[in-house]
Amino acid sequence: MIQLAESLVVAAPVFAPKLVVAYIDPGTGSMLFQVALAAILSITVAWRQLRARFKLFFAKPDALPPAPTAAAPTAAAPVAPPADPPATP
Amino acid sequence: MTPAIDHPASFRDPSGFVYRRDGVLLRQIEPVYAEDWRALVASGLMTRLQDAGTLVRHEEADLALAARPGAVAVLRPEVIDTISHPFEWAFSQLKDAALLTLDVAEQALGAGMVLKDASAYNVAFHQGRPVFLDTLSFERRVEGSPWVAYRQFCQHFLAPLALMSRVDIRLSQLLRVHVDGVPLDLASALLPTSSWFTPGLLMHVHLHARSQRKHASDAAAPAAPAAPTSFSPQAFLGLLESLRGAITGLDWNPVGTEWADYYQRNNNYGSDGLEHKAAVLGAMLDRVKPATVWDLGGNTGRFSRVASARGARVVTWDVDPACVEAHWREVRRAGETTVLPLLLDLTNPSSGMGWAGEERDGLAGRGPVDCVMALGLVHHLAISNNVPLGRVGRYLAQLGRTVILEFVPKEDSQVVKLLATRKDVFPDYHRAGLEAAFAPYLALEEAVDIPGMTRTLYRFRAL
Repeated sequence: MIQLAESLVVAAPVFAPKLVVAYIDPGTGSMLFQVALAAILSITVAWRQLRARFKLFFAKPDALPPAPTAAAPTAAAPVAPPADPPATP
Repeated sequence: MTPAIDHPASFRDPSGFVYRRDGVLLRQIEPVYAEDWRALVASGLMTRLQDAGTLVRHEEADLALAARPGAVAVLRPEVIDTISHPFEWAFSQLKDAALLTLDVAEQALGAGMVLKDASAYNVAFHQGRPVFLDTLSFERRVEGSPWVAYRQFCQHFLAPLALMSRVDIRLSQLLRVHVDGVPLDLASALLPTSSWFTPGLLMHVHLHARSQRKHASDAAAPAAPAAPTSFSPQAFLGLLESLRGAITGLDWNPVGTEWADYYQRNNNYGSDGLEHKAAVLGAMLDRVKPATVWDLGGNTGRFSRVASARGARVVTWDVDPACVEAHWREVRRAGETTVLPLLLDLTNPSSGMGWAGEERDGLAGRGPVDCVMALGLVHHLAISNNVPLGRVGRYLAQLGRTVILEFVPKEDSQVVKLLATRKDVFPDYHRAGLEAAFAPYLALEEAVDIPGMTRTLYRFRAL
């Protein structure tokens, strides 16, 4: 398993990350490693959202949560800021 | 108007800097940050974070107060009582600061921005909760870019928490040596083999460290042709969720240390001793009326609360990670806002750190406070650590304008225990010796014997 996971690290440079000028050193290895993980991370979020939608679909009306769960931001559409929080007492 | 004095730690980020003018803390925003500043305000992110108490509040100040020409804005941030350092935090404090940082990063992502740094020094503990300090840590997100602060987050939070949880709680002190967080190759080498089977640690520490090593000399890699969807917002969110899972999966419970259950085990005070001591202490505090107090060797803060009940803002310093952990959990559970537990070895106190040794203040640099309490402590300093009483007095006079000190005589069972296995080389360790040794630095105001005990509570004024 470890060897399989390490192979992801080796495969990382296939997609180089977009040039970012940061004031701190983000570390080349750290940036490439995130790109290597991108597919796994995306699938994890997609799976969680899909599961949440299934639960919502099959949930009894009285078991529904009071507010819909926030959708993850997508690349195509910029994310609108969430609604303002309720005023503090 | 007096000249501006730059804060010694505020020089890395060209977006702005912190300085003092006429004793007031101010933050200047530089032109290079103007567009990000406008985006931060327009997105509503800043207001949301401030309304939630997550980000330190500020007022916009007059541009005439700018330290240098060209300022886009000048902010006057809310004053934080005590700036503490990550190696002074209990396990749960570092964990709470990590989760706060991830919350801030996720909210920034939702607003089309990114948290551009993830230093633990961007977090302070204020009024019983962690708060994010750096208002300029946000920038507009470059589409397709991974998290530039990923390495820093892992070094400042995940690696030390993993080491504290899975190896030894005392490894938090690695943060004292490594100002930019624990290097991941070091953390990977120190963590046990079992940590390779914990997905969060495998991914974000072990494999991350290998990737760093593999690409250590690839300086040109980020400038390679960009893949537009190389790191989608979905992947970014997944990364933050994965890090949150790794952090929440780490735990440490304070058991079995020397001091964590001191009051329960120790019968020296008797049933009424603690109450008598609290009453004498309370009367002294009523005469001083301190606004700020440091309770040195304060254990889980029993006597800190005698001061906080009188309106003082108290930091309880203790050498035992278990005490600080238990104390922080209690502060958090009770929602207390005036007591802050922190870790400190008074025989080797936090010193100036970072560039020129002045980026991060040591203990004395954060004082003096109105009142320092040293209860049940002097025998550990003078006998266990052989510090001459005069030096104890001199240091306490640096830390507080008033010093309340409990003298524990040689007849006390705790001192008998300390001397049982060693030669008594402390001929001047008695009340008259203490008063004479302290005299050059501290003026004696009052001395009260604690009823039912052999101990005496002293109140001194720093000279």
